[in-house]
Amino acid sequence: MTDYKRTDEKFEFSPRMARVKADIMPRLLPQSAREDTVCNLCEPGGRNPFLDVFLEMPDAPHVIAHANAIVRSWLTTPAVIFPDEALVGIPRPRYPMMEHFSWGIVGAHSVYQTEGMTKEEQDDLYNRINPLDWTYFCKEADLLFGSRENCDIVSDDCIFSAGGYQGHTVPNYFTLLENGLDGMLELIDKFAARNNRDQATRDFYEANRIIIRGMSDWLMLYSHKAAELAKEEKDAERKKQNEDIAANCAFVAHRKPVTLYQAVQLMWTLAVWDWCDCLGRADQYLYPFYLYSKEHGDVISVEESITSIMFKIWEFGAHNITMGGVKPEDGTDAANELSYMFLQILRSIHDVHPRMAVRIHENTPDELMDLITAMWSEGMSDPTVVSDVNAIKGLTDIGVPLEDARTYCTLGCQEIEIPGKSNFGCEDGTFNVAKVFEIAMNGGRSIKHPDKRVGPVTKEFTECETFEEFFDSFKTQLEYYTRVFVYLCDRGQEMRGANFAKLVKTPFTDGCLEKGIPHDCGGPVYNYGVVETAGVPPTADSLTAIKKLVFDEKRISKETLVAALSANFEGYEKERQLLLNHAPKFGNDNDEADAMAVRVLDLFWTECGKYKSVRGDVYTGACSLLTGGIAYGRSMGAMPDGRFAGEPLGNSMGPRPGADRCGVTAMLNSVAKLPLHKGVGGTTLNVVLTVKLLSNPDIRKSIAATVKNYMLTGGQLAQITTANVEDLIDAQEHPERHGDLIVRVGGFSTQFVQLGKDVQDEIISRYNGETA
Amino acid sequence: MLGTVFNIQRFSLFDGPGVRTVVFLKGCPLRCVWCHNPEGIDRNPQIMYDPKCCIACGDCAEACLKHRHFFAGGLHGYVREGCDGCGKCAKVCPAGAVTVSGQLMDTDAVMAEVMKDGSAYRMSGGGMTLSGGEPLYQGEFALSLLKSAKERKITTCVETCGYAKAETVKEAAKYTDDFYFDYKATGNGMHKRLCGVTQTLILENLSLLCGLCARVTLRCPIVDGMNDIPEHIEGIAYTARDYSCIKEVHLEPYHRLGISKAEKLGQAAAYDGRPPERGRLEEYCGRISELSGKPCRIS
Repeated sequence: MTDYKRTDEKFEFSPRMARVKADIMPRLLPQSAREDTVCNLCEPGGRNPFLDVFLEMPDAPHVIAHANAIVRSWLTTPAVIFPDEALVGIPRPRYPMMEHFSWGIVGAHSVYQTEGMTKEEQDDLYNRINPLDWTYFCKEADLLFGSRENCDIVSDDCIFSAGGYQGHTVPNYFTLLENGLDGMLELIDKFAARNNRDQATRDFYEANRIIIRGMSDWLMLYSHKAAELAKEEKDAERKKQNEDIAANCAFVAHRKPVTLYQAVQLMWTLAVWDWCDCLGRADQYLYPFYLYSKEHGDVISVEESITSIMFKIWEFGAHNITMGGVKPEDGTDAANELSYMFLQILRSIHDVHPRMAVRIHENTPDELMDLITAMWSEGMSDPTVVSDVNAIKGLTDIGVPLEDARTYCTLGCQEIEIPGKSNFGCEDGTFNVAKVFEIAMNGGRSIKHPDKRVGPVTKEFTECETFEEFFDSFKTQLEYYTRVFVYLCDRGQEMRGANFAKLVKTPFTDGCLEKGIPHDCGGPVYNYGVVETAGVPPTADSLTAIKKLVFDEKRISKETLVAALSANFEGYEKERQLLLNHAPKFGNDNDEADAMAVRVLDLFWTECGKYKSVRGDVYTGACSLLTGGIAYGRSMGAMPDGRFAGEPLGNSMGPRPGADRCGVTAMLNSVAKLPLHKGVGGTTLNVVLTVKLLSNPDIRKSIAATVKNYMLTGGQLAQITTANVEDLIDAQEHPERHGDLIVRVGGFSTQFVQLGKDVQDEIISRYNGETA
Repeated sequence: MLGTVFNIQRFSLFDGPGVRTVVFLKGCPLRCVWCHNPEGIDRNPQIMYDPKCCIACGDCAEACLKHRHFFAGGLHGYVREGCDGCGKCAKVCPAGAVTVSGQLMDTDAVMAEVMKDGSAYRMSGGGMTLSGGEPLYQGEFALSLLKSAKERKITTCVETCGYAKAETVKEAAKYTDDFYFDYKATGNGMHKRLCGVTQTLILENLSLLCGLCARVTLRCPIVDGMNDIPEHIEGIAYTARDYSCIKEVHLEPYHRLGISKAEKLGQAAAYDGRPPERGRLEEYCGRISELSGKPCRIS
């Protein structure tokens, strides 16, 4: 294949890469098991290198011990080089303690299993490892709600989950590749000299040096390993391959990369050290190296370099790569040969990983749209598409300069951020708007705890004379719960900050070295908060139904509605049918229903935007939850949109399953009316299309146009799942026949048969009345 | 301008180029035995009743001034004779079991609905398709919709059985980008037997469209045991060959979607067969293209 834009041909792997692929396949197990499987290869004899370092350095400051602990755990992980591979490096095992994706060091309690220490010594060590731990958060929460009991009620009601959990961010791969690791050390020295404030700052810079040197040492570990393998190897071709790996790793251990092969090895080094997090705009930062290697030649072909990095991502499940979009400097189309090549390789891998997103704008080439729809038509649910218009507007609206806003990428479960410059705290917390609606219906009490009122006193639903009076109650409750929610989110961030949770990301995130402040403490240039939002469509539809049928037309009395809801509609089927069929629903391009959804969402996200996270910037909205919509739904009673107790609340930003009956464009129009740009954190919309529909190239063009139109008229993120509805139903009955049926759920693609029945049902109900 | 519309279907991808909205106009001069839109035949609004959705609440019986709905032993009965289709029952039915097919709408209201997808049409080259029933049966209304669509600069298609006044066809051609012209039977006898009318007027209109240099796609329903005979397949091929304005032929395999709709109208479907085999249709396609020299595909 020479023209990567072609859809009638497929990318063929070189014989060497085909062997690598065949080798990877048996190592791939269902997603959750992947990491463990490979890491078991190098279990370091039950020792815990993380804890060792803290024990060996009793007097070192936390940040120094932490950095050393990270480095030690990498360097004690054996170097594993698989046959034929060109790019090397595997993740390290999940030790009882790890540094990433949490409030601090995960598993710090294992300190108490350490033998030969008194309880006091164990406490000391524990406090050194976790300067601020969960008890801090709990105490703050108890204070906030007045008592432990109240705090338990709030958490039992599942109104929100605050405090943050992991925080995907994309490190600056441009900085890494432009400077090389020795260049990074120089950069650190430069800023250390400028910010020589106090010992704490000096310790901070030293910790950064420790990390960078560790990465160099790790690359040399692989270089030596490859050299050893080369020495033992009899086969001339393999000997040469290993010599190349040794040279390549040794080169980028210190120097800045020149060729594409060097660039991808260095890129992968940071990627694994970053715990296989998201990779940002790889087609942009690798492009200069691609051009160089294409012109001057390279140890391996450019195709093999890109295939190698894709295979690594495939095997180890790095989260997200973004292609295309506009260039930061002038807004012209940024798609290049690499964008197509990455997508073609993904197409030939044909699996749920790597996950890719393509940024869409007015001048996105038709060939790129054709390639995307061709991939969907082959049953893949990648790539996701993202709207430049919407995402860039959202970012500039909150104060990001245009040039930076244009560099955004997607990450995690389809969140949006500016790579290499930010910690958007994805996700600082999740919030169930529907639960607050339920509490407002009950005058401030939850249905689970009818005798207790934690939040403000508002009127019982039956006492409200007008719809607006009731809406005011809802607003009051929403304001209260937003306030306590962001307060708790802030406390979670304080914990993360005090624990320096992300030292690997720190030197590679703009702002941290400049300010001398770590990644989680407000060091990055951008520090917006992200509130994952659930339950808006059912809340809006419930409000619309109440307004129309109870207050305006008076077809259902307030008392009857309350009784029907508390009986979960048992004995009230007529009322439920009225609520279902005689009040318009969000998702049908109906102005009345859509306006309510806009009102609710705007209210909540504007409310969030009144608060600044302790990292320094305002809280913004986001919505890319599916499983959240299911879990939150289980804790909910019946709702006036006709929904039974316990049913899912619907996934992400789309209408409640089955509520949209006017076709895809009507549904897209409804969603595009929402203030999605205020969901800076990322708002996903799931659309299921049948393979049959996409099999016709003319129809694919229309689908591409529909999607592009959505992207240009207010839509933000869309992920398309392709399948036959019969396939899906059959897969429920005969999972053994449909192991390869890929669907996209919230932030991830997965085999349909691996999902629970309720998630499967929810996907099936997303069919928009389309005949399969 | 007022007309009776029984459905407005958005995101239609198979009724012309790009993303389209199909407006279904009520009323049809033909009586095809396999009709797949039986609610499109009668010009006037009709009550549709689906017992599967009924929750036996009795509200319809209370609302009906003519006592056409009644309940006996918890079962819902509905008598069509004497019902004027006023729709009061449908308005109160909570469950959507009683609905009205056919709504009086003016041109602007229809166009407002159609133009909700205006930007998708521009992006995809799509637009409005008129269907039915027979859209040219409500000739004035159809023309007013087509003119309005052209004023809004969107593409237009008309799906017609061809049985309409020559003046209407001539006028429609001015505002129509693509005609999807039915060819259901060959020869007056067969046509009369299967569709209730002879073919003469239809073929005259086809000639008329050719004279006006219209762009026509011939649409041919293939119904097992009805028109699935060699003479008709040849008839399709020769018609496609002889009429210069025909660009393409589409074979449309019979589908069973009309049956449940007939039931809701209280009618027994006159034809209850199976869709024809794919392989046979492909064979027909090959023969038709060969004989006519024009592309033929299964839609």
